[in-house]
Amino acid sequence: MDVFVQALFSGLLEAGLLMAVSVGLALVFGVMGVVNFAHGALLMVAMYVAIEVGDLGSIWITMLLLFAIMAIAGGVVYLALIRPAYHLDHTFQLLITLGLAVVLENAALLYFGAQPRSRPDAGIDGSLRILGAALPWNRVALAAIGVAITIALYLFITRSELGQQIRAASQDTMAAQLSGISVQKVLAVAMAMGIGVLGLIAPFLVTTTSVSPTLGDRFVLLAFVVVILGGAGSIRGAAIAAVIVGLTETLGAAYLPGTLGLSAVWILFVLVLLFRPQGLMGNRV
Amino acid sequence: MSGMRRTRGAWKVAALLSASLVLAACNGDSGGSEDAIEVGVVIPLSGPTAGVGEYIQRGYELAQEEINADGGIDGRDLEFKFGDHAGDPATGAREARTLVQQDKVVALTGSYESGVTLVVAQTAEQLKAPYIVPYSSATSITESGFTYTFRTRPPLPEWAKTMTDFLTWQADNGGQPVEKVGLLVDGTEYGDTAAAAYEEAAQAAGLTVVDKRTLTQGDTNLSAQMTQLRNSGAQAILASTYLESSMGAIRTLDSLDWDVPYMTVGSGIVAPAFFDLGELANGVTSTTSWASTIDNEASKKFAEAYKAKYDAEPTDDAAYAYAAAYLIKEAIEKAGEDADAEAIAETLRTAEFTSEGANIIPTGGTLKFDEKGQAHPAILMAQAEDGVWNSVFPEEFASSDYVPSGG
Repeated sequence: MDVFVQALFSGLLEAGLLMAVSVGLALVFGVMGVVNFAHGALLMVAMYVAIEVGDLGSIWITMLLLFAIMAIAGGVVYLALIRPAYHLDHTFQLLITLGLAVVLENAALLYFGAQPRSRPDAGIDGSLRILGAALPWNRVALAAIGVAITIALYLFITRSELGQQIRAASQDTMAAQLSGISVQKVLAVAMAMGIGVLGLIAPFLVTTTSVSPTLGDRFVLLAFVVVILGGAGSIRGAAIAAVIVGLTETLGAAYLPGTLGLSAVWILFVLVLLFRPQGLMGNRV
Repeated sequence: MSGMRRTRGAWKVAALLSASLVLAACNGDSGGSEDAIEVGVVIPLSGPTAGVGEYIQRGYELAQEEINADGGIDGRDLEFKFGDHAGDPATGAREARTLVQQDKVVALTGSYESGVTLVVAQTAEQLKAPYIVPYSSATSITESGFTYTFRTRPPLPEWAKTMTDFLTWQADNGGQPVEKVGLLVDGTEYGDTAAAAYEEAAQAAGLTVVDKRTLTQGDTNLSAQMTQLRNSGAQAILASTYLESSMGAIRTLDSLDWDVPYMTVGSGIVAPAFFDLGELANGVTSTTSWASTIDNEASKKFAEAYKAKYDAEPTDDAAYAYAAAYLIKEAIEKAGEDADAEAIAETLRTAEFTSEGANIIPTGGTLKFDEKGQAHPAILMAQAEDGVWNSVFPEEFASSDYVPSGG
């Protein structure tokens, strides 16, 4: 019983983290059709910045500062790299973001060195006890922020005027332009939001996970699984997929024999691709 | 218009890729003098284990600097040429080949991941170049019949035996008696080999393996696995986790209020970055093949020189790199003037190496390779105390008393 409860709750916490990492990717993918391979590398950069700025008196201030920094970074990436290639084949954007990931990784290696770094002592100690399961507070906070980010992004895209403009611009660029929407501006905002949310989780993530230059590789792969599973570009789908992936990971690790537990997520992924290639929530926001 | 955009897009890609190449090149090493004796080092300087590669590179560089300041090898400079394998076996083989055939190095050393080491050993065998392996611990490396491969680091079964010996010993020295152990290993060949070695050592020591759980290296959320291990009745955990996951495991144990010995192989725990855990690090005891506190003058001198030069504590990997450099120096000297690769290999097969530098690792003073090309230094248990790894076991190499948990 306590194995199940522990696996269930830590799966949900994992899901919250996966949401936080994936929704930005889903947003950029969904509304812009841009496959951003540098998403993980940008998360890595956000984590290093979180460690560098250190304690600003309150972790919330660090969060807001990092959101600003990463949103600006997202905007710059869009204006400098994506926009010039926006009308080209998707392969170009894919190569550009892949190139950016390589540059960021090597720059981090050069500037921060190769040793893993973290801030486990950032002052969020102890665990939440619930039905016999122990959930470290920093992971709980991380998951809560992930859920909050997901809801906020979803509301932003579906309810706000800017969100509707973003969707309009992504669905029919020409029509959007004709109706007076500044397409380039709204897409830059979408990119800034998608990357900016990475800044919100970085200050918490460095308390549970060490950062090294190649950290992005690990996250970007799982984030892509979540985005594709959810139905490319659907924020709601990504949220549901994150829960499925998180639970599959922890329940698989607890109950499946040997290394089968590690493969569970990938087996699930292959099955979904075979039987529902458009993803769980394909073609919806 | 569209043609121009296409060109601009392509130009951006080209610019990004070349920028990354320039950055990557800055990481490498170059230059060298005419008549230096060159030795090739194939290690991970980028990729997921670049952190370990950095320690290793510094170990070689420090030894090179000392050796050359002290007159080199019979008046000639010793120079290490570095090749980056980034954790990839094919790249490792290519780098080794380039170093031997183009750069004409007289010997090879390095690699880290056992998979890479294995293919570099095959390459060295083909090219008849002596290859000194100071890191990888997979058993297969010395069980494949290689005659040019010489490993200074003990293989996994000896690490496993040290863990079970320690579990027995600590029960008589204030610790809790342990009868049941649980395994936590990754799903790679390394994890499989570790699990097999742990099972064998446990059986030999009269311990029961009650459960085996798996993880993906890099995972830090291990509470599902840990809860299963606790339910199985395990009183100690033998793991194959690398540093990232080991730190996650220690945090998980703490969050579950479960206080049991957790051990893994070498720098999977015993590394300076482990102290990022703060208070949680204290008391953790795990295996290492070297500790700066062991009673050995040359070893202490090395630790101080390393700290002075790099402003960081050395790891066992750095110590093994440094010792390998001195071993190579001694082998070349023993092989005689103008020694070629064949003469150096033959010296490594037959001679005993007694220089201080080559014996900063716990050998007891003499390093010698058996017929399989394996040397037999001791494996130690080190315990964390306020930012220092103290050697606590075996007693012959202990610098501090073991502090049982809760004590």
